[in-house]
Amino acid sequence: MNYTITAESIYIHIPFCKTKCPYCDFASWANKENLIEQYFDALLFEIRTKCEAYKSLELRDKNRKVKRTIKTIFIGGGTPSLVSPELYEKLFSELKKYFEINNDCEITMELNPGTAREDYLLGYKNLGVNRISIGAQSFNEKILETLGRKHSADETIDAINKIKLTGFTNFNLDLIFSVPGMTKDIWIESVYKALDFAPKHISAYSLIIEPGTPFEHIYKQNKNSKALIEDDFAFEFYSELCKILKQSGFIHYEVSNFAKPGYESKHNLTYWLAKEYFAFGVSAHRYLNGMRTGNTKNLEMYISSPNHETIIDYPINYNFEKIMLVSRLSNEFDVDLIEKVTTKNRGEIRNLLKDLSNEGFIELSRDKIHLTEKGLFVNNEILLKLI
Amino acid sequence: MSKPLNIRNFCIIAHIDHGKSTLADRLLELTGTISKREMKNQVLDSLDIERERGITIKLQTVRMKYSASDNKEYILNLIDTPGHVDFNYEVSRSLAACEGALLVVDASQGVEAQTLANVYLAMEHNLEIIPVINKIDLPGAEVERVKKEIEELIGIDTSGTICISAKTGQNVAEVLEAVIQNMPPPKIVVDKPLRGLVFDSYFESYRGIIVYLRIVDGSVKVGDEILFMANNKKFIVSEVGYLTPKQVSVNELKSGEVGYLAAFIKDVSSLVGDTVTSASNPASEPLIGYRPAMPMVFCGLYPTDADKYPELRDALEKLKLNDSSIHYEPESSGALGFGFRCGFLGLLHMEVAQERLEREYGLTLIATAPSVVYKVTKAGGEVIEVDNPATLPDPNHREKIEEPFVLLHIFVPNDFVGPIMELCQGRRGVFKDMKYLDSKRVQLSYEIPLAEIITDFFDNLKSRSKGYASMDYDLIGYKESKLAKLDILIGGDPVDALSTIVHTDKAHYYGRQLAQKLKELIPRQMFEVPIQAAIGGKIVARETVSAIRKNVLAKCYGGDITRKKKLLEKQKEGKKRMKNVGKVEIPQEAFMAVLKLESE
Repeated sequence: MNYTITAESIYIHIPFCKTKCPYCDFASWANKENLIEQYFDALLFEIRTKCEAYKSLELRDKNRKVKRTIKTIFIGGGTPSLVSPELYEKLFSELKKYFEINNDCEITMELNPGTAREDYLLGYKNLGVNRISIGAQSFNEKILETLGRKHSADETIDAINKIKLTGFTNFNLDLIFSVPGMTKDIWIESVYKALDFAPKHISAYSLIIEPGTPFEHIYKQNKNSKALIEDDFAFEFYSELCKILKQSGFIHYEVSNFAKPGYESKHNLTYWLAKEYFAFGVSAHRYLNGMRTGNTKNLEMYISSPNHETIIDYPINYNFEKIMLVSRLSNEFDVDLIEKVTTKNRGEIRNLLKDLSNEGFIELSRDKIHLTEKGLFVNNEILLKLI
Repeated sequence: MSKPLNIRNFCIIAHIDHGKSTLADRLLELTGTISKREMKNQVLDSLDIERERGITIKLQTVRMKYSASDNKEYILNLIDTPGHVDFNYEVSRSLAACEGALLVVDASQGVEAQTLANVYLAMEHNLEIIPVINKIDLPGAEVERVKKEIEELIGIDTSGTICISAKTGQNVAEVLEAVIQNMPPPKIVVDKPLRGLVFDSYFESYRGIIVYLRIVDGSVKVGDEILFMANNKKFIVSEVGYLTPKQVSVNELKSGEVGYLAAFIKDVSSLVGDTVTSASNPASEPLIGYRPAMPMVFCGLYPTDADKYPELRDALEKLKLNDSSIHYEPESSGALGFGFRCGFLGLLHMEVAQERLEREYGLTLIATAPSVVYKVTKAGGEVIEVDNPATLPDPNHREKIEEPFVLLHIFVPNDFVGPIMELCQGRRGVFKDMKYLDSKRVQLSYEIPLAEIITDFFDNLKSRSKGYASMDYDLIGYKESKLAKLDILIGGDPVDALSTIVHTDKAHYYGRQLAQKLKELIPRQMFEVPIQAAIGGKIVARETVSAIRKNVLAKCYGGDITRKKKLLEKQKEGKKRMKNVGKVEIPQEAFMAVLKLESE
């Protein structure tokens, strides 16, 4: 079998949090900080053994002599900002044994307000971290309380000031809308408040009630669904957001993501362009050599056997995934891609696209299409028509 | 004359849930036909739908060996029968192959309307009837009352009644003894040419059509050349045997026996009811077949994927071999494309046939709302039959419409008489008679349009009587009614497959109700979908399905991708069950929406 790696991105998962938010279904745990050192040992072990394996597989086929250059690294969680720069230093030096990591590599780290420490921030910066993603979620105390966030709006502001003082200019703010009890005014106020700090990037998600979370119990099982915000109303939040951010010079480049020109998240674009990537850490998913694999979601199990991975999807229906992902972007993609995933013939596709274009959901040129803002709102419906 | 075989051919008549299949299971166990290890509940209900719904649809045949108390060995052929009124045709076929019937009645429920209909059929066939009262282990059992009911309603002697519990097995052995002692053995005729009555058939790709038959005269063995008298076709027998219920091949089937026959039969559309005879020495007269089944309820069946039309045609051909009461002919619809207008014995029969087509032949179908056959006198005096509302001539091109009426009998505990009468009157029923069956139960009789009872009437009857009422009906003929066609427009275009014929007094009301129901059933799409109801070109109701404004998954990162892909694939499967009419995607259920309307 021919083994080819095309990945130029790395994801690292840090599963520790001060408290667990009741809506969160990521692999993250509170009160397990005592495992951080062991976790990093496991993480380093995983990187070492897997990279040795990748190296030998590549050598066999391509006789690769130079190290692979990495363009993006994303350290997500959990709360990566809970961990000291000393441990990250070990991590980076391990990575650098196998990968070429230059100054132009986009290195993002997630940070939760309330955990921002000036000494840590400076340490991260010295290690090469050049982009911070802050889990602000809201600037309204009531909404933060509803979300079960343990930080105040002031702490968020404090964190933003600290990262700016440290010298970070490229940062993202995460915001959540459709939170029970949120009015349109509260939402708009939070959006403007975020803009006051001149972020280069904003990610805005509607609250999703994930199975297995305390929120599912509170809002779905107790039939308390009245408190939840209907999709039609969520549309209002979303459409206000798009309007305000557009006016402030942001590009709506992905369904939930907005950036100042040139500040799109390069790392996340690797996902949305269906490109391959490395990943390490508990519950991390990678996409390599045409195969999606994943690590265990159990922390203790990961620590005891960090190398274990299971196949999540193989063989992959690449074109199906690609259209599903690229249609989330406002950038154009080839009409050819549709032909590869549908049983419809050329004429039927043309008619369908013409209808969608007449209704203002897409813009259509000779052989390319892109979704309009109206189209991005109903991305799922459009996809179901295209595939 | 050779040594007479000790054979008994019998069937079981029972209302749904009165325990027929459980009794059959016990008989199979008792005779050792099926070992305990192979035993699963309702052995003779072989279709998945039968086990799931707990009803018998297809008749099944099984041969049992039994050593009776007289120390003789007997062969008992049990021909299982369906209990629902829709499947009377299957019942009449099995009765023709029997000499006797067990009448199973629930000890607490008593005789039901449909049981009565089936017992009358058995009496027409001169069958020996043995009453069996089942479920005597239940606390509500009233054996004496039920006995009296059997005597009064059916008029048969109940001194030989056997009281059993099929569930616990109590007294079940006595049933077998009674079958042997009280039922006549088949008349054995060996010195005449072969005559066998075909009572069922199905298709297999490697052995051809398999025929189930009862040998009346003579015998048939492997290698014989046989002739189907009505079809006038000849075949060489490749296999004969009996059913345990698995097929067990033997060399020969003789007069009085029941079994199956294979002869590489292909390309024969209808064998059920035909007589098999010897090709070299044919009988002079065929056996008396069955009353041909009269389809009462019609609907259009269309593949959701228009390319699957040939598959649907093949599937209907094969299903008809196994269920000869289905009628079908090609038709086309502006909205749905090419399909078939199909006739069924009743609503349940229609549902079951649709489900079997989907499951056994892997099709996805759209069924239109059921309709009866109307007799329409056109302006020139010509009378035509209309079984598809879309083809009803315009009001100025027709003089009158006549519709089929039935005499409906309902058995119901007297506590529920009020609500049931209300139901019948709301459905244009004309009260004919009310009889007390005993101190607690009443028989109500109504003359009522067939169209009114093929929709949700039965469900309503059950809910208004807490499940206690049962019904049966006979066609009494056609009568003129004031009827109109109700059209539905979706996205501004009329959808022929949604047209219905309704009584003029209720047309407006139904129009509003139907538009509202469709609004609930049609999912929101990327644009607004107006739904209108029209009578004779005039809009009487309008509803709008508003456009989806937001449908997008907020997050899609590493681990979400595979999840989202699976979700999308699932949603895509769901879309396959929708029909594109113009730009609008309409789900299967919407075409049956008229069945789900609340009645006034």
